[in-house]
Amino acid sequence: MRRLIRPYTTAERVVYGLIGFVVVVGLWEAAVQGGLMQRSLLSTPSRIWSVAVTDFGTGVIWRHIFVSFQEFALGFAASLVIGIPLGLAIGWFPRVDHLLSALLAGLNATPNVALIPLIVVIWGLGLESKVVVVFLSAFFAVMVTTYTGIRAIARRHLDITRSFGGSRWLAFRTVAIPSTVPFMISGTRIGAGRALVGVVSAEILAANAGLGFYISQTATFLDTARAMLGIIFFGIIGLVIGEVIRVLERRFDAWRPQIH
Amino acid sequence: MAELALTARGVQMEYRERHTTDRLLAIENVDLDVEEGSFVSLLGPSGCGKSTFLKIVNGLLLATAGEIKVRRAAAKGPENAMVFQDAALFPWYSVIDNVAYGLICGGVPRGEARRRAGPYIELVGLKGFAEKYPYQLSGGMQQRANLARALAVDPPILLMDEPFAALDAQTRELMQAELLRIWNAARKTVLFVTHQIDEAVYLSDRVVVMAARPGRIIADVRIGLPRPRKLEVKRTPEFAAYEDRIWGLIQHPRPTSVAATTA
Amino acid sequence: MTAATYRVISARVRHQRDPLHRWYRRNEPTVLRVAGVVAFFVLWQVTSDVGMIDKFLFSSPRDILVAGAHEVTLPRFWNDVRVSGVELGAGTLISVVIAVPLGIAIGWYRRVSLAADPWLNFTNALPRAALVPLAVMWAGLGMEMKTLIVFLGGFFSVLLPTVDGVRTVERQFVDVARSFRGSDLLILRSIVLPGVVPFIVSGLRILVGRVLAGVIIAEFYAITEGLGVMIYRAANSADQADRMFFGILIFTLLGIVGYEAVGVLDRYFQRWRPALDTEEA
Repeated sequence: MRRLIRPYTTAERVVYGLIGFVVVVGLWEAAVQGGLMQRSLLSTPSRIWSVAVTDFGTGVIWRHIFVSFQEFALGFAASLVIGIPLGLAIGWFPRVDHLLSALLAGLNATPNVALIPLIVVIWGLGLESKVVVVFLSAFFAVMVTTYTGIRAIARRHLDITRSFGGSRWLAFRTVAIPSTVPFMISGTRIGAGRALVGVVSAEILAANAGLGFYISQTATFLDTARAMLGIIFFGIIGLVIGEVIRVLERRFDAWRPQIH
Repeated sequence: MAELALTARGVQMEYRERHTTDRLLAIENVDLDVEEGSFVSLLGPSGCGKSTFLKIVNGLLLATAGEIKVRRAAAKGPENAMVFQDAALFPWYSVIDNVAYGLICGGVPRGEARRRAGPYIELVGLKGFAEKYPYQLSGGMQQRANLARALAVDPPILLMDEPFAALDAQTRELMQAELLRIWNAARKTVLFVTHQIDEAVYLSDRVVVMAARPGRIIADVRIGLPRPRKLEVKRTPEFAAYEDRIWGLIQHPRPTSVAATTA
Repeated sequence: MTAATYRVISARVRHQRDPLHRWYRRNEPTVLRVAGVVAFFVLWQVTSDVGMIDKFLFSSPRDILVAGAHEVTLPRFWNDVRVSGVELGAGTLISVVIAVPLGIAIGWYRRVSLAADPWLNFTNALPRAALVPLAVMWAGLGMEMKTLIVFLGGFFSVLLPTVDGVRTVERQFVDVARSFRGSDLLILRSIVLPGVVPFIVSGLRILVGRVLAGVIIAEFYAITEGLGVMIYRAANSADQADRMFFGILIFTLLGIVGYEAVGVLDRYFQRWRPALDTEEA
């Protein structure tokens, strides 16, 4: 698929991207200073920067970031450890698929947020309940993309193993797994994004520490600048995670089998 | 009389629609003998069952009637190996790992499989490309690797399913000549499926002509052109005569099937 | 010459199975699906009755049905439904109506789309839940705030795919139109719009999840009225697990219906696509 007009050059992207960034930030600051927009709405870039310097300096915000990071890491790791093998099993064994898919679809259709009160009742307000929420948030994306990967295996490739007399187990090891690796990585990227959403939702609703808690607390005290700081920080984290995994994805792109 | 590598009698392939009584005869009836060391083409339009028959021999499909006898290999190993048309190499394996794959499927340990695969990579003209990946190879080179993989398991019969169909015209011609060179060196029995008349006539000792609806053999043409055959033979009047003859058979197919046997 | 040994490849033997066997083989997928779901609910009920799982925490299918049957007779319930429904409906509708044209406009003008790129990526990576406290600061605790959250969820789900869709239009089609001196408007109508529809539909699939989550999280945060509030209150009272699950299941149902509806739209708009599976003769 080619672009509408000639492809963008990297130089163009950087230049226009920077322009867009600077313009918006500039307008934002100007609008508030000039009285067009209330300070309490979104605060101003300058104010946000100053509280950032303060809070990062005193270390207040680091504690919250660390808590959030723990919840994210544990929940996300769990989702990979369970989601990938489950996705492989469901994709590879049709019987398992039929048995479980309806139930999993039902669980997927339920917004994870709705389960948070139940989870808090069972696991309390501490680390465990957040880890469970993060796990649930990421689990599906990881499992479903892995499943899609198995389903997308070129039939021809499986024929080749069969043609030369290889066993089904050999086909799984030498065809299914390598073929699915690009999908597993995509799933990791999407799952990481969902995990981040899970962290935020859980912390805003039911926590006493963590970056989401930081946001909801500062907002309750009408400290817009700090709330915005937290929000922007989450956004940046999301971008960074996404980009890092995307680099990994590109490395494996040459492997992507052609789907005939 | 030469030894027979393969005999097929009464082979039939019937497809039945799930909830109806519609029957589709992909292959109505095939009686075929293939002599040891000969190069036989199955030629016909789409739907005549030529690929289906090949898959039955290879074991990918089960016929609904009939019987095929294939000559056992000297050592323990498969009696036949297939060269596929496209998407035939694993993108995640290097060339040598791909060529060794057939052996690995047969239970040979990876190290020894790679060792045995090496000479075949040279034989098909890919010397020096053993560690490259398929995406770094052209279409013609990928098919050479495909061929090497099948040769590496040393089967008595080589099955080739329109292996050059995805190549452009010039590469295709070059590959045809290359295939004859390799065949001369390896001396296998080859069963070659194609829908191109000139390809069948150039490569084969016998062209078994098939028709569709229902799939059946309508003629068995022996090609008397001397070997070794250079590409130039395609421009000779004898060659054109064979092409015309076969073209006539295809245009007006006999309604009943013919036995392509030697008995 | 020694006689060579041959291996025989035989044809398939077709067993004449009894009708029950044949029926099972044909319908095994459905049987397993139904069995899976049924087994789940039966297991749930049994472990609850027997005491293996805590009834107060997990309830049981029977109790949930009873509680649900009771709920739908109460006017309070239908008020909650109305409130959540309005928030959901209005928020979703407004978000789509604004996001699609805006997305097309951004994608169309090259410079604008490049300049907007970092912001689009940023807001896409940002979890919308983080904006809930801000939204409360702006719009209070009432229905406006919750509709706003729903709107934000839906808006960003559709905006980015739309922009992507416009940018990814097949170059060849545009060349054809330009070679026939087609105007920009013509290109927009006949090439870009049909091409962008699959992207919008894929955005809708994400939207379903986001807007439902939006309603719930907004109602959890600012506990006033709505189905989400019902879930929250029930979770925090003793002995109301069945009401809580009833509320959760309503959202599950909404989710299923939503995804199915998007699936129907998807198939409707993809009618003209040829089947992707091609086997050689």
